[in-house]
Amino acid sequence: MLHLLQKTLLVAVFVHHSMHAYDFLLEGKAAYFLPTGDLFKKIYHNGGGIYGSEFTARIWRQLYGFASADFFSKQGFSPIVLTPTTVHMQQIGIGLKYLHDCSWGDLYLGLGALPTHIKTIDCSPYVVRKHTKWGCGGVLKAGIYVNLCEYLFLDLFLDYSFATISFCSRKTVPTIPHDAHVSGCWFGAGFGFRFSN
Amino acid sequence: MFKAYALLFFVVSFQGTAYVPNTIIGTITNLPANTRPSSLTISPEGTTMYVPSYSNSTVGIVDMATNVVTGLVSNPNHAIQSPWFIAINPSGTTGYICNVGHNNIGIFDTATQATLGQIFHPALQNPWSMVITPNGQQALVTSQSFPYVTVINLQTNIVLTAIRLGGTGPFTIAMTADGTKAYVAHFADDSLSIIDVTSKTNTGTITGTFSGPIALAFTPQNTKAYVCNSDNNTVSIIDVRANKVIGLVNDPQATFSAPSSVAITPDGKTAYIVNNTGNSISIVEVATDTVTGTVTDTTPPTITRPRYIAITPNGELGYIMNGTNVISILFIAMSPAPINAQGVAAKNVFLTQTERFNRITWEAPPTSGTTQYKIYRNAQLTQLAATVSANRLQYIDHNRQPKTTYNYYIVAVDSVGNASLPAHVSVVSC
Repeated sequence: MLHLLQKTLLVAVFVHHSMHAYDFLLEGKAAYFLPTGDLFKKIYHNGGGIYGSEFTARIWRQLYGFASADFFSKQGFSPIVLTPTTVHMQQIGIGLKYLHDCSWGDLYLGLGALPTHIKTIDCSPYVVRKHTKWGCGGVLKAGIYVNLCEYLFLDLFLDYSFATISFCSRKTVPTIPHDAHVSGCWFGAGFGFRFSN
Repeated sequence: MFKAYALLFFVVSFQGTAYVPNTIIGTITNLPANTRPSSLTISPEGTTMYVPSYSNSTVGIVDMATNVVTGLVSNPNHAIQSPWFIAINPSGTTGYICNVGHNNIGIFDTATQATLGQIFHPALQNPWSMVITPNGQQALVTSQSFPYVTVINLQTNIVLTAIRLGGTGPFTIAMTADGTKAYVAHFADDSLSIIDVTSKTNTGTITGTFSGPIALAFTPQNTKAYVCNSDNNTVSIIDVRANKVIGLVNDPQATFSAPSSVAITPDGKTAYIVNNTGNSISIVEVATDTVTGTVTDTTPPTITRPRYIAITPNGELGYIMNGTNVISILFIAMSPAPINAQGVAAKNVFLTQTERFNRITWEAPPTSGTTQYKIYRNAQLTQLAATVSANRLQYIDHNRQPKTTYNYYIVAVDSVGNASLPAHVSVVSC
């Protein structure tokens, strides 16, 4: 019993110590995804809206960890033949950010891994109708957190994501599979809560 | 026996191994007794031939897929009375019968093969021959014993007018392919009347080398007409634009013998002259206006006192009406191939895959009667890639391998399965 009490006390002390230095941000965000791959641009008309959420928490001093989930979906047409096609893309970002304090908020830079899942639906009877696959890319982040009040902030950001999903190993005869280049720039804004002491 | 022969013909023809051109390859022998047909009319789509019998007052129906008489046009309202000639409207829905002995035009429905009624008019006196305008709106009818051409509105089946002719004893009438001009042969007067179809007027008379002009035909290009002179064994040539006789067909072997009928192939290259007393068919090369040969008959001979010839819309076969109860089938040539065949290789590119395809296009052959096109991938025409309808002049061959040469052979096929010569196109895929 005494042993359990000692353990509980130690945890309480640790939590109290951690809470003393906590700073975490939770936001919803919306951005325009501007693809850099020529084929993606041709098919899906220079991209579109991408939506998601992000959690950022202090790890040590100005170094923060972040985790994000974003979703992109767009309909388009194959070049020349104009066959309807749709792409769905989910991206999970995990990485680090460096925040620089300013009087009105923070400037930040970030770098992370970007596991990406894409699903394409090509509406032609002569091709493989659905393709789905996971791949891994990366993301570079830059932005500013503008404090609106004690708990609310606005995030203005410009990201660059890079990812290539390989389909070349797939036996999708009679069509010829090839890699999907889904890199691109994101520029947009987020809005969220910030808890810190 | 004949069915087996017909089947053999179909198979051989379809596979591209043609019979020797200008040979008799079969006969139609099951006409009713004493039919003694006066003419032959092939439907625009080339599926059915109608055989009027003056003596029996019947119209026989020949299935051109099997070359067998399958029955008679039923005659519930007595609209078939000593028929001499039949015309079918361009859409192939209605037939019109010149009842030469009864001063009227019978009407029948080609779908039900039954008569619908008759057209009467005082100007229709022993109606002998008829042409229908390309739009199917009007018919022009000649009468054997009345020097007028009767114009009938085929929408209402009412006579619009009667055009006075410049001669007597009008027999055959023929019209240019564009439907603007018609000639009427005056057998008794050795002349032709010129009819302006649009204004429905007689615009003049052609005279010259005629002697008992009994039949005539225009080339599809409307540049020339040939007139059979049954009395002096010649064939006159007319410049259609000038409405003037420009000479006689050169016949070095003197093959013409009471020429009684003429038909020109749809491509306008060859004319066939029926020699009634010569038991032969003369072959005329239109470009040179020269007889290049005669049709050689098989043993036993079937061409006996021939009187009339009709050519299928695709130009592959000719049907020769004999003085007997037998119709001879003449193999002219494989119908011409589709023209201007072209191929383009292309890709359908998606985010994760690419499909390669070849797009093949062509234009219809100069003959009519095509109901579908077959596209093969080999010259032997055994690897069928696709069949497309006649109004779809393209084929897309999907899922091709990259950087590969593909050969395509496009064949026009008519409603009874006769195939044209193939058009070839080669494509290297992307």
